[in-house]
Amino acid sequence: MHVGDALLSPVVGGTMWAATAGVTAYASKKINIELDKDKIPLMGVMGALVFAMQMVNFAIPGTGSSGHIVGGILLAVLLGRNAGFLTMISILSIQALFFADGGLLALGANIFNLGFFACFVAYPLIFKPIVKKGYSNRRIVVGAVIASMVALQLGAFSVVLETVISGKTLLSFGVFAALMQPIHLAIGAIEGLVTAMVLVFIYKAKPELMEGAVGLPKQKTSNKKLVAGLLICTVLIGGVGAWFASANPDGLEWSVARAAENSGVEIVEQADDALIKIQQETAILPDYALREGAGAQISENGQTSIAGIVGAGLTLAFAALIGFAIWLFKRKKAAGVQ
Amino acid sequence: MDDLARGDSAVHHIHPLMLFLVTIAYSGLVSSFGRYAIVPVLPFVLYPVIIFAVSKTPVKPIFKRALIVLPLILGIGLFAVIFDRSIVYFGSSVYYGGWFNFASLVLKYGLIVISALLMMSTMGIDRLAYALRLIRIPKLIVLQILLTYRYISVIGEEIARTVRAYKLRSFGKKGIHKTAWGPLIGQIILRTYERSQNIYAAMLMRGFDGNYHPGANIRMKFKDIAYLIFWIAFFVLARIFDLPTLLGNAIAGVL
Repeated sequence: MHVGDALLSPVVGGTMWAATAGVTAYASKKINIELDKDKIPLMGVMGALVFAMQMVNFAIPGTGSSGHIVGGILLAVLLGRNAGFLTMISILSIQALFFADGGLLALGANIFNLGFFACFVAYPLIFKPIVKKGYSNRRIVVGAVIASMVALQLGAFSVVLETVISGKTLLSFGVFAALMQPIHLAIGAIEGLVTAMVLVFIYKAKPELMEGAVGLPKQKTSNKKLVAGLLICTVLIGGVGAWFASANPDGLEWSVARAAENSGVEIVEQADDALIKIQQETAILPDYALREGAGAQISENGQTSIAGIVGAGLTLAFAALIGFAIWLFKRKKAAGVQ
Repeated sequence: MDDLARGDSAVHHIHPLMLFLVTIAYSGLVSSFGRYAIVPVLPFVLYPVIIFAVSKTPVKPIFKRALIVLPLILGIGLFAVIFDRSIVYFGSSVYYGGWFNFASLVLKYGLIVISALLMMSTMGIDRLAYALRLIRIPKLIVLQILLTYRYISVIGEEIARTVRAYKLRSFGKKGIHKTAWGPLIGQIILRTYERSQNIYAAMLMRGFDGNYHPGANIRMKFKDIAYLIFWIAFFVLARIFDLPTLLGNAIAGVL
């Protein structure tokens, strides 16, 4: 579910960075007070664990396919929401930096989509209330499944919003949301089930690992600030969404109409139709006659295409030449040294 | 990648903060191009080419890593081809925008990913941590990134061993059966927890006080600032002016 740099505009990427920085500052401030130092290596190795666990494939019952988990809820339950969030940051940063998963610009958005919704929305507002009366197998399963599904739905929706607002592709809001949400409903259910099984096992084997499961006096942490922050986020996202919706009324209507009649199948059919027609409809050189609803006409580099092509060729040749020259120079120098 | 970061070249000796800032500027400017832009993006190819050449970073491993995430962009790009029905004029011909969108996405994605990978392969995790501290990223987060990075290979091997043991006993079935989800991962978590206790004890023995100490200061020199200014100036120039088209026009004028 990582968004890539190429899909986000700098404004959207920057906004998500700012949002993430805010949450991060809050989390690391909270944690300095509440953290006992032995949690630091625990967070580190748990991060490595969740990172490595994404290579493990779980068989999805009845489908013959398999998938891996993201681990946000698992981290929040085992480490608490603040430490869980910071651990997600380290995982996603390493993925962005060393494995090019996501990217620097999109890192803020990815942390928000995968970490914030799991640790600061689904965990405190869904999982915790469900297990409030004390842990039991049933409560853990119900809580983990619902929390994971909600977290992934919010994350997926956020991906759709960020991508559509960025406008790096003309995928309409409706189409994109209809593709993303149902898929992530299924992914969320699996994620929730795996998380639940793992938590049930840990609850039986070592309950003290789960935050507030045994012994410790109940922490009185106020959720007021969190709720206020969430409200602000909701208003912001709602406002942006509404603005966006009014700019593209047909896209939204379309998605609402489809949502009402159990979208999945319809969308797939539509995509199939489109695939069948792909040859005629997406030919590199369509007819001059514009079909109905062909969308906005965008002119780029009006009459300068020849110049553009010549220039492009020259630019690339120039880049290659410089690279080659440096390489040659270096080799000569190395040979001279030897 | 850590081995690459230990290389010795002009790029490796640039202050890590400058490498970081140049990469951020590069990603931001490349991704700020419009959805159909292809030709104006091309001057940005120059940056990775020069860094590859100067830092003597092998091209193959970097491209291999960049390929890992390509499917996602290809997927979105293909959807754009199917659904994007807008029309793009290029000279006297008319094209469907989807294809331009597709090519533009792949080009921008490739450049950004390669620039990030190049940054890491000329900088390494320790100097990255130093740069992060300089821009006031909280100590705790820097420490987390270092610890997580350090233990990925250790824990990864442990998980691989556990999964291999499971597979040898599961007669070639695909994936981990649902009855084993909890116990298998749960066991690994318990072992990981114990390991973290040992690590903590070892850290305490070596004087860990909850803080991150980056070690020796890396001095900022004139060449570091010149490096930053040169690249930023080039990026901004290439972003504002459509250099290839200007070049093409100039050539056409001469001919």
